[in-house]
Amino acid sequence: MLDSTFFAASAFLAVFAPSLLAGTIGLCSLLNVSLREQVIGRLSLLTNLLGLVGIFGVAGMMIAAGRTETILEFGHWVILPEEHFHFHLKFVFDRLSVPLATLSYLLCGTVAAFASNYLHREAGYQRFFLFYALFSFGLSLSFLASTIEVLFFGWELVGLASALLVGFFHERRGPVNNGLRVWAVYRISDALFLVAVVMMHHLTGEGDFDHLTGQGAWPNAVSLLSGREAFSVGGLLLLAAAAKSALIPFSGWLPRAMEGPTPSSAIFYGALSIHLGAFLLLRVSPLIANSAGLTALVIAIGLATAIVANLIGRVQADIKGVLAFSALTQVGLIVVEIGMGWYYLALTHIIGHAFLRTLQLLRASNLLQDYFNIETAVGRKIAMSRLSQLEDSKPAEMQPWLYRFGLERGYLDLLLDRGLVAPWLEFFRWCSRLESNGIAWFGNQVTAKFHQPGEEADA
Amino acid sequence: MSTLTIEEIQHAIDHAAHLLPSQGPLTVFIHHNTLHAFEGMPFDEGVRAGAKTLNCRTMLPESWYRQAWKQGAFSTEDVEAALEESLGHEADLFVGLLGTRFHLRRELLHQPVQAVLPEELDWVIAETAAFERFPSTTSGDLKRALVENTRRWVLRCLDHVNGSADPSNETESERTELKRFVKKCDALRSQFRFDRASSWSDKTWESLTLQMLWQICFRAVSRFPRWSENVHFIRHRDALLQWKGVDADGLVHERLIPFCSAFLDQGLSQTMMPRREAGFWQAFSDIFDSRTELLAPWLRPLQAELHQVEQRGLSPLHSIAESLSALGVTSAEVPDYLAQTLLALRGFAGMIWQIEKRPDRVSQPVPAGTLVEFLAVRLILDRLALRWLANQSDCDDLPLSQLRTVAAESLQKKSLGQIRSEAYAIFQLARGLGWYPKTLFSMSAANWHKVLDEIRAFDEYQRCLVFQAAFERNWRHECFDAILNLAEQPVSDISGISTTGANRGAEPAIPQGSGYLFDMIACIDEREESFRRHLEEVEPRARTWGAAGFFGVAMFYQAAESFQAIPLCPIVIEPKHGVTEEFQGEELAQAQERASRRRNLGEWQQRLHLHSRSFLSGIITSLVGLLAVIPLVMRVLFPRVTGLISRQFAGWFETTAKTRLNLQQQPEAAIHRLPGFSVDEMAEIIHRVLHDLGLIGDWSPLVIIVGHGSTSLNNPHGSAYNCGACGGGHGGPNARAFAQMANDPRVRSRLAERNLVIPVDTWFVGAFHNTANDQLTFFDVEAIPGWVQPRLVAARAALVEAARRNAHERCRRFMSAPLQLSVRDAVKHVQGRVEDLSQARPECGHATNAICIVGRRERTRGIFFDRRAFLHSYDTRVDDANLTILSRILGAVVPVCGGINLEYFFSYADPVRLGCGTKLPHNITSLLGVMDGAQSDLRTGLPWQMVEIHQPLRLLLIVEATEEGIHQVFAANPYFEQIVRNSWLQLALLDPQRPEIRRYVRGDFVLYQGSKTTRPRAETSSDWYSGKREDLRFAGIGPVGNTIYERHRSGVVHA
Repeated sequence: MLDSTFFAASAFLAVFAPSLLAGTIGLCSLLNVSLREQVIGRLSLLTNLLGLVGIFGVAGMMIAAGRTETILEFGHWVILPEEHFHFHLKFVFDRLSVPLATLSYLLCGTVAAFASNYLHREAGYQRFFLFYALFSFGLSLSFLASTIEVLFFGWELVGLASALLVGFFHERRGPVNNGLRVWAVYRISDALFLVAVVMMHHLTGEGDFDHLTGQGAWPNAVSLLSGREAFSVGGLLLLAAAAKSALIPFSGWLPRAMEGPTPSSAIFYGALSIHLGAFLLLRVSPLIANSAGLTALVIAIGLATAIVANLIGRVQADIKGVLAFSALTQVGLIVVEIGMGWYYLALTHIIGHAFLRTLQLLRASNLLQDYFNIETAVGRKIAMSRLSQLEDSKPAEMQPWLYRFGLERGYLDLLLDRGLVAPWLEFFRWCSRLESNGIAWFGNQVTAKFHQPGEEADA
Repeated sequence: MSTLTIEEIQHAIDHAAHLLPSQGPLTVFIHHNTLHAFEGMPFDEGVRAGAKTLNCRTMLPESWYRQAWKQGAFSTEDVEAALEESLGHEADLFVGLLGTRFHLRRELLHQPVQAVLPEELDWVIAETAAFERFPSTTSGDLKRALVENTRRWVLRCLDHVNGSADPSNETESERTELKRFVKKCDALRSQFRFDRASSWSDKTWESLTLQMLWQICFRAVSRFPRWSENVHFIRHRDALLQWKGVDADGLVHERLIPFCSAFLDQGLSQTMMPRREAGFWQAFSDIFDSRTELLAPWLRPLQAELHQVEQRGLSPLHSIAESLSALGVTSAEVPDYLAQTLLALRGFAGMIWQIEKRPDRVSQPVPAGTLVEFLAVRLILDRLALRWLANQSDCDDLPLSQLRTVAAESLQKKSLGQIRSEAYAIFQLARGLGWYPKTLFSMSAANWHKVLDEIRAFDEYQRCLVFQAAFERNWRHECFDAILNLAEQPVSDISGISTTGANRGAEPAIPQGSGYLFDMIACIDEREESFRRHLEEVEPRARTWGAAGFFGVAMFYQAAESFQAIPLCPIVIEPKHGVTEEFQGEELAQAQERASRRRNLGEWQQRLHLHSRSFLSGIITSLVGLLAVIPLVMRVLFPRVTGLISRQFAGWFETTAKTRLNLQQQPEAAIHRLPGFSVDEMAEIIHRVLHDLGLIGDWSPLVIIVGHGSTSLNNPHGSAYNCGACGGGHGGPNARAFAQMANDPRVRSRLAERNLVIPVDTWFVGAFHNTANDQLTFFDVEAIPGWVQPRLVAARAALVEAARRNAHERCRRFMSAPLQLSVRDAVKHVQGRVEDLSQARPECGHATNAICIVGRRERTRGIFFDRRAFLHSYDTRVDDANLTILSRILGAVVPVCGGINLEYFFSYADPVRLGCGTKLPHNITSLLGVMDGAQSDLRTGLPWQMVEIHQPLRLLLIVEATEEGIHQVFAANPYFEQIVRNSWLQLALLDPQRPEIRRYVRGDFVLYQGSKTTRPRAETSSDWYSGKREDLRFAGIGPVGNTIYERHRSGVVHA
């Protein structure tokens, strides 16, 4: 059954359905053809429906056949025997990727329906859906990837689309600045990821996950790498995941990403791309389990993120900021769960959290009405002082320094600026000085040679 | 440097605060003139001053008007008439070579000039054929004449220069001109070989003509450059931004915005700001008075700065004075400087000011003096940011006090570019108007100066003002024609009725002698215009009236299910009475059970809301969150069905128990501690409103009072769609209270004592009209006496049908609703919009509003106003000699309708700086307002989605009154007089006796001479609007032969 063309077709749809939308809109944009809103809206619903049909088909057939892992092969695309390198295009359907791909299609479909209405008559309608399609394609590639190269490709697409959507309202300064910042952090993540890929090839000669994470269906696989190898590759991947999921110390970009239209904020930073780092950790979970140091690091980063994000979130007075840090708190906890080895809990947590957050963000603008309704029902104001009664464990008052810590968003942006950006800039300035000094010295040599002696004295 | 006293600084701040947006918390949206601070000036000057002070655009760009002109929104005749009116007696002033000022300006209006920046000009010269060829829009004749004239002139001059002509014919002046000409040719010699001029092609001549024009224009402009070329900065930030390209506000706002939003927070964040109650300054000092290693480098001196202020015991005002002198602001500059500093973050500053002034409107008020403290903090931050940025830009030893002067000096040298770009504008004019190079060349310097001054005086703003006036003139005339010709009712019918109300019933009534089936009183809101019109079409024996939607009942209202009371009356009135909705005795038990269920549900929702943010309980919430997929997918994909289901579900929680308004409650029993209405007060309200309407006789057996409001989802600006007369609330309870009062036998007997007899068999019913989904709710119908029931059934059916048709008419303006929608589908469509989370336009709100008519419905009945007219009923025959009624009507109507109109006007003119931009990235902040995306100033004004179909027209107020009458109103209401005199609205008088309209022009009332001969009409409204999306013109609605004009023609008119 799993060898039938029907299965292959379903699997193909599950992976490549969003490329239909991305291809169509991309090509039209390239040829300067503007599509009607309705066409774009319908098309994006259709692609998500196709994707859902594909993934349900695959899941149904796998359940019927009693399989927990199936691979869709597209063969070797690059083989360099003497370099021990091969690039293998293949996709995996297992208990991790199928639920997440389903989640992604469901949410993307819903948000597409939302956005096609919400962005009605907006000048950037087509542009929005182009980025959206790239994002959605990137997600399906990442979730279903079975080699690290394919995952990297999807990961990059998601990052690119996210940064472009943060800067969607490019006529204002804020979105562009923040988009750039998001992009810069994503590049750090990508660079770390790439180093991990290279290192993995160095260690195993290929990018297939089964060497990295071992044979056996997720999450029961056992890594073939030794503890130290696992720590080095896994550590890099952990850092890459931290940047992507806005874990400490990269959290500063998350609230800044709330610049685009509300639906994009909802799906990207509330639901899907914020969980991409956690997904990566889940994907390489056997690797983490293999190294006690790595496990401890994962738990530490997760816990620190959850605590800091919670502290910052308590102080925020705008709804999108509140939701961003609430989401981050949960992502931190998900990472802790991964560290503890509770993979199914983490997976369920991701899915439940994604749905909840998307709904909350999509109706963020309804906050005033929601507050009014709740207050009317409960019969009192949702004032801050009331909160201490409801949550009697914590005092409502905060120490000024702690409050300031929250207000300054944990000084995390500053930490990055000073710890990462400043040395980098300093290095390049030093290079620039070196270059100009060199040129000046060279220039002096030349002038000294050609000038008559005594001329300088006249000047 | 600043030697102002503390009191003077306080005064300057108070003055500057008036420039701030006066928009309060979003939950109570009150429309107001965005440029309210400039209402003391005439409109023409006010918009200019507003644009300068607020750094925004207050009129549409010239290109918009030119486009509208091209599309026929106004005609050339309108433009010329508007120009003539704007010039007044200056029209005939002679202004040098081009005739009178009127002629020159008319030419300038006809001739579009493309404004080009100095940087762009280089590109234009290098990359376009601007100096080679005439643009394709130039007419062939004009081009030929120009080239030919130039050719003859140049050839003649060359003849003289070459000596081939006879020198004895030359006069002295010709000789000097020739000398100059030779010089001119030198400049062009590199491009043109003058020795071969006789064999030049037409193209060469064309090019030479243009080149000469350019040279001449450039020379003229550089001889008389614009008056004020001096670079001058008010704020240091602007100086540094222009000079070094670094923005101090960027740094300051990044810190100040989160602090302000946390300080103002009404309950969005989980934690209260520590020491918030001690005030802005103290809270700021406490929070920022901690270790500074982790701070951004520019903020490092902050702690020392705060300490210093504290140790010396300086008040915030003293700190402001100190900051000002450190910044080198002179006393004369202080008012402007402080105003611009406040305006830099106008949304937050305005909100602080609003809350400070009206602490009763929020649950977490701020202490008095917060704005001053905000300014003190801001100036300290400004100083630190400026200092740091100046140091970064290699100005270490430049004191801040000299920053602006030094920056201005180094930026002074840009003027050549400006001269060139102005010269290019003059060049375009000369080219387009066919000014001969020869004429321009020989024009005297004085003449040139005069012409340039004239052109400069008629800048883009002046031109736009003329276009605006032309646009309004066109619309006004259409409207006048409609009122004079299209109404159903001949004036002679109307005016013949005797002036005392008592025997009006004896007069012949309109459809049948026996009177009307029922009356309907709606809000004056222009969205109810179509509802009233459809009702009159559905049931010609119905009569409709318009009154301000709180129907005279100013109250604090507490709904049965609510624990708080809301004010339902115009914002200017502070209610003195309270009304509570109460369950009827036998239903109390059921109601209480439902209430406790509802409380449980509410508490769960609250927990979900709070716990999803918190730490460990968030995990459980997230796992439960799997269930969120159901409402998520359902709400987005099937909004209308989900709405129906959730309303079914709500039946469990919402009580269906019958309620009654308690109009006469004891103050102790009520939350708001306000007494109810006494019988006398109720009688006064009814007496007053009925007299306002002119409904004091000729009773029908049923009077339905309809309040209105709007519902929507995901719409922070929801309150702006509600009834303005109810202070942004729903007007249903007011209508209900009014009906209850009017039915009260005690009230009726008091009224009878005051000579207002309401027949025993006339019954009042309150109702509510939801303008978003066109649903109607009728109140207290079970209390109606049996003999009224059949009439109510009929009336109700008519109203429901009218609301359905109203939904259909509204759908033509929704781009997402197909044009061929049936009435049934239209109703479904509007219902769906209201339930749709993703709908950014639940309804069109007040967009396209343009007219306000205060007068009898008979004067407007049967005219299709396209939902653009506020209609207030008023009968001058009921009024007393001092026109007390008209005065109080206008006293309420002018600020409300004028405010709505001007807010839409300016939010449309500059959606980014006066409106609040697109809704898509809005982010609710502090439960008070919205920011754009992650962080921005609080955005005030209307979102683009509300105003996008608006037509910017100043309100045309038509009052059915005489000239003497309106002068009495002027005397009684100076604000009204000022607004009219300063042209923030257009006033016209509809003669109560004759079909005549007089318009207010500079203190006079000028009779309108009808112009239009076509009289569009349609059988029904839907015949007129079906299949059309665009703005529609007026039309008479009803069977052919029904308008005044037609009856005149067919001789049916009563003598």
